[in-house]
Amino acid sequence: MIYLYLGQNDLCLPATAASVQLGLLMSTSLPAYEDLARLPHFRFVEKEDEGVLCFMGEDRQGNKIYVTSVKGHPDLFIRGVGSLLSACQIPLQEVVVIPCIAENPQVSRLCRIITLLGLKESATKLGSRVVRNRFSELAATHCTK
Amino acid sequence: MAGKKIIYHCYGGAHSSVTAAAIHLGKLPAEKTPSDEELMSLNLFDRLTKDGHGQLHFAGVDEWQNQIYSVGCRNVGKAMERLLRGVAEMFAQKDQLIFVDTLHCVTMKMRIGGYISRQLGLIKIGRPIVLQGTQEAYPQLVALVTRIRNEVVR
Repeated sequence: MIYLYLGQNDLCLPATAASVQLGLLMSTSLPAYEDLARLPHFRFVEKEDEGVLCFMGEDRQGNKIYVTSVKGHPDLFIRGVGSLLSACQIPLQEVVVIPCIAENPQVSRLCRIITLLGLKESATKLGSRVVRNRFSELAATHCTK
Repeated sequence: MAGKKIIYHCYGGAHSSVTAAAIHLGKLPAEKTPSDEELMSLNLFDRLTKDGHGQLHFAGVDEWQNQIYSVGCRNVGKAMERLLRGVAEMFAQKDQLIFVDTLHCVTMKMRIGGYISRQLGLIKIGRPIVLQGTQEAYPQLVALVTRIRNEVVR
């Protein structure tokens, strides 16, 4: 099975949720800023990165975990993946798309602007704060799958 | 080369992509501009709502057994293309997908008429404008489809 964590404007939330599934982060304790910054693909995306699948790893059950991020309309991408699977006659349960969207997508947009200004570290720090605020929900996403 | 999936995409999936898919399948004539009735005879023309955006709509199979689809991707067509190609690659089907952006064929009348009809829901006002716009854009759509058909055959 393939798990695809879908973010909006950033890969911070999806990379964190995917890391919980992969066992890189403990779901029971709040990760430190440094732990989050070290996660693979923990960053904000550029225009050319939108929709690109980034491989995070394989979990203990052998499921492949990917993360991706889009500028907006995540619902569109969920429908798109579902209908592509149908068109290719691939069972729908083969790919599970899990949206990991910030409560306020404006924050992600702000971080993107900060990144464009060359302040990558500040953007990552702000991204870490958003992740820490929502960590329990992200960890629960993994548990309820 | 047979059995590809050719996906025509535009903003709303209700006008240019639907028309291009119909031209590809020979449902609309390539040599003359279709009438209002011919355009409205297409199932999805000026009918798709935003709830259908992102959904691949099967239009038919061409003479080389390629499956033809239309889809509305709003302003994220490129990202959608990258994501769907990535998913197809996981199942070794990446080369089967051909994405064709029809947005560059869209005229101002199509944009305005489409917005009034689809977004504002004022069909009586928007539809005649978008029909006229589609007829004006028709030669460009035919040229695009002809190019794609030639590429697929090659």
